[in-house]
Amino acid sequence: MMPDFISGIWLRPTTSNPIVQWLWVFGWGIRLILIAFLTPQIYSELFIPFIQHWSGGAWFDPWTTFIFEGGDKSAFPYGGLYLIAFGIPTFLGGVFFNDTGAAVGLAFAVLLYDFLLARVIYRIVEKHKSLIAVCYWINPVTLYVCYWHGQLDVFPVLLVVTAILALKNGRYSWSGLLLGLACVAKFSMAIAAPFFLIVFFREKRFRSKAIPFMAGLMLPAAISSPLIFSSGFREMVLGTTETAKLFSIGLPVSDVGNIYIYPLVLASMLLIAWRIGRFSWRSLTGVVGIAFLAIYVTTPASPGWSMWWLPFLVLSLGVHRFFTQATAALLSILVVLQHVFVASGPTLKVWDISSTTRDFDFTRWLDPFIYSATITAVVACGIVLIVQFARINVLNDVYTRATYRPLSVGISGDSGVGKDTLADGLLGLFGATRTVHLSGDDYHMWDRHNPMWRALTHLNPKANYLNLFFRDIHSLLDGRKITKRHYDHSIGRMTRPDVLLPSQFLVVSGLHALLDKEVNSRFDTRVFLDMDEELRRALKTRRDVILRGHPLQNVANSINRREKDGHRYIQPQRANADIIFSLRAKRGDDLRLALKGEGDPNSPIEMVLAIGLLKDANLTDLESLLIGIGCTRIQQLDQNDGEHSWIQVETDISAEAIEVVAYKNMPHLEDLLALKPQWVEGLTGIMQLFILDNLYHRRHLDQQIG
Amino acid sequence: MSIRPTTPNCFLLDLDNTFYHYPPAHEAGMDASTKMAKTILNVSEKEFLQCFKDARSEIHRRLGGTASSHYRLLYFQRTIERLGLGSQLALAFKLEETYWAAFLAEAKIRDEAMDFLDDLRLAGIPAVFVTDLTAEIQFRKLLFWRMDRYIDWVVTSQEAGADKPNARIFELALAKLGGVEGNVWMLGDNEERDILGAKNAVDATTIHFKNTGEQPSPNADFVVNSFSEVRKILRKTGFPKQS
Repeated sequence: MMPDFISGIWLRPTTSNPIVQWLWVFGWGIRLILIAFLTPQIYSELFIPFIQHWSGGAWFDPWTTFIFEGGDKSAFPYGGLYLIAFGIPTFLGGVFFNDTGAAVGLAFAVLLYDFLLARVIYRIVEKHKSLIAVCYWINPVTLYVCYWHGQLDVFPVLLVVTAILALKNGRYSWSGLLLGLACVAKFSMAIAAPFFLIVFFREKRFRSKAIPFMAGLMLPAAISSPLIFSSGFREMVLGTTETAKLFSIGLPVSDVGNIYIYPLVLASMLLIAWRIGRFSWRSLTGVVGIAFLAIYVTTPASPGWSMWWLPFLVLSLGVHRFFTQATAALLSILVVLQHVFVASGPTLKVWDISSTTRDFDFTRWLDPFIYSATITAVVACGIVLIVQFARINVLNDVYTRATYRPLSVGISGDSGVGKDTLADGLLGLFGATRTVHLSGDDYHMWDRHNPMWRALTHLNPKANYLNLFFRDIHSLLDGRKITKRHYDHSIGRMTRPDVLLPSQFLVVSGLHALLDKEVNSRFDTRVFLDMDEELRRALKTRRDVILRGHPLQNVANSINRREKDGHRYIQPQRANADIIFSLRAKRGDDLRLALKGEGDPNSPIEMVLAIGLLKDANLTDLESLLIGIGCTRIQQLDQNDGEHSWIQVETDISAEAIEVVAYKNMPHLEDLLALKPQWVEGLTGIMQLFILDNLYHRRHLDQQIG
Repeated sequence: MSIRPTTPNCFLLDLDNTFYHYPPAHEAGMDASTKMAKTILNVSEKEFLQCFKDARSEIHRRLGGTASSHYRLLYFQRTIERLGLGSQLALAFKLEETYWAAFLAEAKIRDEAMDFLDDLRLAGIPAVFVTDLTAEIQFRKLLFWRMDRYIDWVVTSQEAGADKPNARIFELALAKLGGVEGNVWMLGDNEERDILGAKNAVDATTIHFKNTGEQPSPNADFVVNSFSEVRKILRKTGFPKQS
């Protein structure tokens, strides 16, 4: 058993696997040993001289003065943020133990960001958290790049990965700020930025948060913009030779010109990402990882660049099978072999002044053929992983796949049963900005005062432009815009035609929404709303007699006339529904008063809800969860219409409890819903829950995510 | 611990703070109900929490050792009364409901806990949840986490008439199984209630599930801090046998 102090400080206490725990300890041990005994050459030759120059008094523009004093122009190709992140610990280390102390200070700064990155990875993934974090923690690439070769790329990558965590947790301006900081810290991180922008501008769910995100993103650039005026900064940071590597591999098309590979790859990726348009944080992680891995395999990459893709690789691996995971492990080893014979390594630390420096120079063992073979293998593994990530993490992401065409709910039922209330409930869940609500009322043939209504009721299909209604539903489901009038209930007239654009969700409500076979087959979820006839009469009588002052007899006649049509045209649609909600009054007394046109019209009539679900629907989970949350008055009904099995629910359940049940029953539901979904209390909330459950399973969102 | 442990003939299981980590769930529950009280009753957080604390100790004093002494509805009822507002029945219910909704949303079943229950099911070892608190909320928890799929028997202290470590609750568990011949095992987090309780009452082989920061039980036969370790111990006894 792992001692408490280890699991408590370095891991969450829920971590259970002792092997993983000991691998963590191993990771720590090897890091501390490397730091104690080795100093990467680039520390002592490049970074430390520059940082010492900065801490020696060149506070505001160390780049210009460093060059002026004859320093190496490639010593510190980073901006001010790097100086803060690494300069301060290096300086403090130097105060205590000269150059060796400075190197230790710098290494501890790297260790800090390295550790934080492992923690952020742990926070992001949802399954096998510790195992995935440890894959990063003991990865040879991490150890080689950070502690042997000595690159500092872990810092900007930490910022990008944390930006994804912030996005996942709904902290959008933070996400922008972190990404902005990463880009300012190291310009190459800007490769990730367009993918984030696609998420915020193409995914309607996030669009309202694009401004906070952009504000965060631009802030660091704005603050650090005065550095442009420093000639040294321009020369050392902006003019870094690394940028030129992007254009160093190309297909020669003539004696003078090339087609550059990476820009082409990146442009194609952006185009595809733009076309996909719908991203969850998971698929964003995948696509950013691909972009970084693609740059690595299509350019003569520096060792530090392998840190760019590594965390994304690790984050995306959970959903893959052994083949991909093994390829990733192989790639990690090959990357180290690729660089260790050509790039600079470390020197033995000089703790004792009298000893002489020893360095680890492997270049003498470099064999050109083996080196070429290694690079070829790296590229091969890289391509395999890019293909696998594109397939599994992006194109086959549960959310991306589930939403490839609009999700749709059709709600039918007689007038006055609450179709629009329920449609509003769904709009509140999916978000009004990405949901289209098509109401059957807009397809009535005549304005309210037209004499034809004396001959036909609204329930009669002949009194509605049903062909148009169904055609428009098809159009919206196909992603085409429609032009339609809107029935303005306040004046009883149709408005002028207006354009309605398609969106991710379509909610169709109407008296005849489930009448057409073909339309039905295209709805994901078909809902029929029903109400006990007595209750419907009571509600209508109460409203028309008490509130509107109509004579009781007239109201009764009108109800009777509609009742016949209801049976003829509306009720048959029940058979087409996946879910039937049927409301009835809990107590007869309420009804008797209301039917006489008496009583308080505003006092609520307490109701119970019967829910009919297709026989193959699995109810047990939802039922158990509802009982678990305290909605205990649920019972099976012995009611049989051949198609559906029935339960009855009687509850004043809170909106919060509905939400708890929904998230418990439907993992990753948040992808589907608005950023701030509006849950409703009571029976409407129960209806929200059952519709969502049906929709969720219809689109296979319940598939396992690793 | 290298000795091969005796094979279990039945397993008694504690629920709270063993199968999930209790403090964060409780905190989330208290947080939600305090916020609600703040808006409805217009009391400060501090005042509400102080009254709650006093109410709870008062009820513990009065009902100590019984299931009702843990009944959150009573705590909230008494808290509101202590705030000088009478009993406020609807509100007490509302606070309780809010507490449990937030509690259940936050509580995370430990890694491999469900696998362990599945191991027991496959091995055909009868298992009983032996748990303090009132039946209603414990049943609700078990249903909410779908543990009812694995475990056939539950004994609450409300049913037994006394909290753990009282022997009655353990004896009732075994009685429900129709009496157990052979080894009884107990898994729990609390030294006094679970470990000593089960040892004294039914001479159980005990596994102490030690939460971070707690002392390992000196009386337990095994001390673990993860379900993978519990499963490992179970495997050492020769289970689960696949048929």
